[in-house]
Amino acid sequence: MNIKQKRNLKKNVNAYVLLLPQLIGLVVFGALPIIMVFVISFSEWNLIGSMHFVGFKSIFAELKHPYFTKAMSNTLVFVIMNVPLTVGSAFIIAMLLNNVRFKVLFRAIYFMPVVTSVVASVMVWQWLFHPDFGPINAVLNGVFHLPVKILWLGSTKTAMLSIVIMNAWQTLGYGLILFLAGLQAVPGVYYEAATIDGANKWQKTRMITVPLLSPTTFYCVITSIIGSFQVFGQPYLLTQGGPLRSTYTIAMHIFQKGFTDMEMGRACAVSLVLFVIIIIITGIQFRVSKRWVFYEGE
Amino acid sequence: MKINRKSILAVVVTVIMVLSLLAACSSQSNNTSGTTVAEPAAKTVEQSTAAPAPQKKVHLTWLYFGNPDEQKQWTATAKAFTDMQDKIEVEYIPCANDAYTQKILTMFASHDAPDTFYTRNGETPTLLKENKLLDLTPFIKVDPNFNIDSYVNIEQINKPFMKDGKVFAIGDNDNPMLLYYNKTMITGLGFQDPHDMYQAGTWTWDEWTKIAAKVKDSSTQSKPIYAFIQDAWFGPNFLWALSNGVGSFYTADGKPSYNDPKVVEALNWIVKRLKDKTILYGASSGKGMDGGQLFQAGQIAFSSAGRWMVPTYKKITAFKWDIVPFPKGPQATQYISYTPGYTSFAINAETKHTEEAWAWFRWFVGKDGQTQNWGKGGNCLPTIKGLEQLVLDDKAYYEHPQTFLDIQKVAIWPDIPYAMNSKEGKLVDDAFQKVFMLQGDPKSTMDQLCSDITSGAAN
Repeated sequence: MNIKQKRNLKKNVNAYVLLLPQLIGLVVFGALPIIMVFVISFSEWNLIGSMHFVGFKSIFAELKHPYFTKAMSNTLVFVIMNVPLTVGSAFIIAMLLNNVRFKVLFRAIYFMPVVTSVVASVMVWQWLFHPDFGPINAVLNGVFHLPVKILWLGSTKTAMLSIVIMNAWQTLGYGLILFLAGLQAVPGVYYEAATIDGANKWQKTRMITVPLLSPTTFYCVITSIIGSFQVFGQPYLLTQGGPLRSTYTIAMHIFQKGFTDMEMGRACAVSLVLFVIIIIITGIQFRVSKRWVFYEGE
Repeated sequence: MKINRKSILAVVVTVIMVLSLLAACSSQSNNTSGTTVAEPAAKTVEQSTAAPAPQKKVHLTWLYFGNPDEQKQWTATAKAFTDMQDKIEVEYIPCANDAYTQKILTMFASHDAPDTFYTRNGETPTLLKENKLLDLTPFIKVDPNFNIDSYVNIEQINKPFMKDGKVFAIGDNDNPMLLYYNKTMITGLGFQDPHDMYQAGTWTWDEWTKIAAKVKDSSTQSKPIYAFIQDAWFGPNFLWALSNGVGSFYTADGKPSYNDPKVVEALNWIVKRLKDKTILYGASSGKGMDGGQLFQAGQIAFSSAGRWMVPTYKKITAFKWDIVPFPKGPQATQYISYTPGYTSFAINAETKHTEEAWAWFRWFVGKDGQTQNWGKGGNCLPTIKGLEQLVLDDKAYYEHPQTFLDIQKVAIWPDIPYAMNSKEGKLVDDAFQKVFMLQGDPKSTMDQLCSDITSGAAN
């Protein structure tokens, strides 16, 4: 180590020492479990017996398993429905709330579902979706005069949609806050210049707001996709993956494999597959983002 | 590192944080429930010169799940046993229902398992395979205070825990399912009391269907009434088939027989009832269509459950209710029932206090323990003979508690391979759900199920 490096080390050692507890926590509770998942995914283990190395056997067995393919297709459907609904709704509501009075109050109201326990939310939504006594059907019948009794959680056609609606309600507040912050950061001079040039509201939104909000949109889309792939609480509590496994997601499959079937190796193998899928999709998004994400100054 | 105030502060803060982290992660083998074991107080002079202190009790841990009220009961049970003798102290470790399998297996994985615990469908196969359950056979053979023949229907109740002629757990509670019925509603519609029909042997599917049809016709939009909700879990799945004379869903050599003609006949019968809406299927009706809740509200005529609903239903004052076995199907020669799932008491094979654990076990599953647990409005049937009065005391709330005791003697365990293999169980659940949601023909669905089980599709 040369003198400059030694001097830098002496200067920074206090910082490293103060960072040490956090780093230890990150390694012990973050990195180590991830490494263990990799190791266990190549083994057979029932939690209390000994671990046996089986190579790729668990991964290949799971890729062919009908429950895995069902869970993966359900999860993809959820992602495709949930992400546009959540991000789109957050964007639209942010646009509407950007220049209104009591914005802080509205922000708090929309953010409350984000901080509400999933269990409490599920109990409320169970009754909202009730086919006979729920307000949703009551409004559809009474206000819109639709002669329908939708079995929201009891039909394979509508159960996943119900989960998507509930999840969008619970999570759009997070994107809303980010979009509102992004809207505040858009310089007003662009709008002024556009007004002078005769642009209408829609043109300003399309040509100024959307491009300048693209970094925020990109972040919301990435986090929403990653979160959607890992959806567990709502389907587990609302429908237990039913009816007929129409809301059975990959995260539920991992839980079932690990803690019901006592096959930790298979559960970790599925986790590994999910990890690879998310990494690939995120990588693709980063590549594609160069075409539609504009950072100020570029 | 240059020693100055800043660096000293950095080191002190780091040491405190690391020590806190280590303390939080440290094993607390005697404090899994979060309660602390009190340190003995320092002796006073008088205590020092007094007679020698009694020998320290052997400390045993006991894990069992329950809701908050049940957990209070288990704590009282542990205390009752601890107080009545001076050799053993039992500490109850509470756990919620849903998390039990995960908790006990995690405790075993971390070598912190309790000395005694309950074992159920979810964890028994793994615990048996990994030899974590103590073989109780030697104790049963030599202990003159324990008689396995004093248990009701022990061959059925204990089937899942007998392996190679050995006994690994004993059930201290039983809960065969039957029908609770709204007596006021049914007799008010002009029908004979179902229990009278059962006594006369004329309680059949046909009689049930007549009642169900009339109940459905009496329903209005402002007060919807239903005949029966087929709850969407494995318990009720088999009951109609069993009531049609099906003795088992597997042949003697372990092959699945879900496509047996009697099973298919029962499923076809249910499908007809589902189509004419005298039976509603819970899963397709959505959450909130829970049979128990609707029965309490007086909105259904029949509800299927074991004695676990008695503590809830005894609060009903709006109408009279009673119990009756499931009606007989055309192929049945007797009334039958079964207990879905099982919960039995076991000893950890790795416990350091085998003799003491056996003493606690023997008390717990014996008359005294079962009286302690299932008396005063208990929610299941005792498994030991001589405690029938605990159930007959229910007469304060409904007329025929004796029916529980009668049906317990003939209740069967038809689903052993299913109960011991959760993966196969899921195939079975999915197949039944497909039929009940009218998305699969009973015959072809059951044929496919048998084929899937035989081919190992579950794996």
